[in-house]
Amino acid sequence: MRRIILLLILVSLLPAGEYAVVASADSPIASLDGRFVKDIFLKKRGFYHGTEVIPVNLGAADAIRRVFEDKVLGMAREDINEYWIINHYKGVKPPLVQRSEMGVRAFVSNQKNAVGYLRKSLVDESLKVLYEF
Amino acid sequence: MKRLIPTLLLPIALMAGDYRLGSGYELLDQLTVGGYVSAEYKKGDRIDELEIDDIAVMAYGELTHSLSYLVEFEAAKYHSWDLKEDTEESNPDFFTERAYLNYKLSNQLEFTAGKFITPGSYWNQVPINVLRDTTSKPRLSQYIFPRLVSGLDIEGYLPGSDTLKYALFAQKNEDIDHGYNNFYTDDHVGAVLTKDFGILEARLWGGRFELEDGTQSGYGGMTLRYEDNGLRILGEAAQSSTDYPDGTSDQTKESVFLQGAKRVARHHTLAARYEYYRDEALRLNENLYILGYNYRPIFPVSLKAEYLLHDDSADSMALFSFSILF
Repeated sequence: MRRIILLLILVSLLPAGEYAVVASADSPIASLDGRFVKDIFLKKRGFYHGTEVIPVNLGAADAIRRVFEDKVLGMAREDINEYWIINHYKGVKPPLVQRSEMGVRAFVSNQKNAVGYLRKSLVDESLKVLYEF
Repeated sequence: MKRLIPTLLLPIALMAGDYRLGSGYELLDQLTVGGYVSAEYKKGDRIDELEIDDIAVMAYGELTHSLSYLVEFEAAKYHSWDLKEDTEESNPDFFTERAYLNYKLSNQLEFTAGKFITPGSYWNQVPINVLRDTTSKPRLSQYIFPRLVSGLDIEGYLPGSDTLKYALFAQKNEDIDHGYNNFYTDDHVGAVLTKDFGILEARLWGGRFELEDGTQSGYGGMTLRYEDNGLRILGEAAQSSTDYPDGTSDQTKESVFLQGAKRVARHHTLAARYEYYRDEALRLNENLYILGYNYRPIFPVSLKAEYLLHDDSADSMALFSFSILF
């Protein structure tokens, strides 16, 4: 029994994820599930319960973007590039890009409809965590 | 030729700046321009033809988060050389292929007004050579329903669902540009239901349209699409029934195709398609088998070679194409 309790304590101490999908602290969105985050960043959906949502990506070479694409979008870079080229024909552009996590933090905290992602350690009182990965 | 050269120079000019092929060129925050070009060569017992098939330019952008637009002008069969008869033909005029405004009110409700691709058949949603796995197009995408609608479309997710989408569309007027559709209709209504299972997608679609000469057709179809890890499988089946003004009624067209495409190595895809097409009015019954190879040095550039085996061997042919999206 003691072992089980110890194991449960250890599991509860493990981080849910090193990174966070965030919105402004003023955002009316409380949380998102992974599928919705994916749909937002693929621009399949642009609203959350009537609130406009603006996705903000990190630059293509950013390591955190790679993790986001792998864990949240579940797509290889090649497939993502193909997806946006097909969407160019459909008249849909990829999300906005900020060059750094600081840029994402500044943009998202000042734009209550924006949703971005960064390391959890960079989340401050201006942001709200919607999803962790 | 005077019109062709500037059109072909456009992508080269765009490449000179901060530009990635296949993504368009963002002139303003609200204006991205791009286009595509394709050339085909067909060789069979009855055909020996080289053709610059599509030359198209397009512009689009988001005016607000909810309001966007797209316009596309295309010259189809721009120039062709019949090498069998030693003749050539030119169609240098550009027609409006698409021109619409889209307004998104919510995930459940968005409106499109203008001329747009007919919702329904999956093949019809991405119809251009460069984005396809084969040069040839299935009969289903050409002879069952109008490819384009000049009217209004309402679509979105069904309330309470993350995976079920609907589309309702109607045209009750002449085509915005008469020169560019496979059916000259001024009355077309239809509906689509799409279920997204992740790597699998299923669709039911149908509609009714009337040609300007009074010919009336109803059609219905279904789509199953699987895509995962470089493997794409697309199957579609459709049937239409047509009543002609001379009193001939219930003339059936039906078509089925199943296509598989597999990325066998980086840049290299193999594709195979089986097609069946029957047209009761023309007493036509066809089986087609297509085997193709697609080389993409980069995704927006496609070089294809394929062989189309027809029931009637005289209609079998080899096809080669080059296409580019810019």
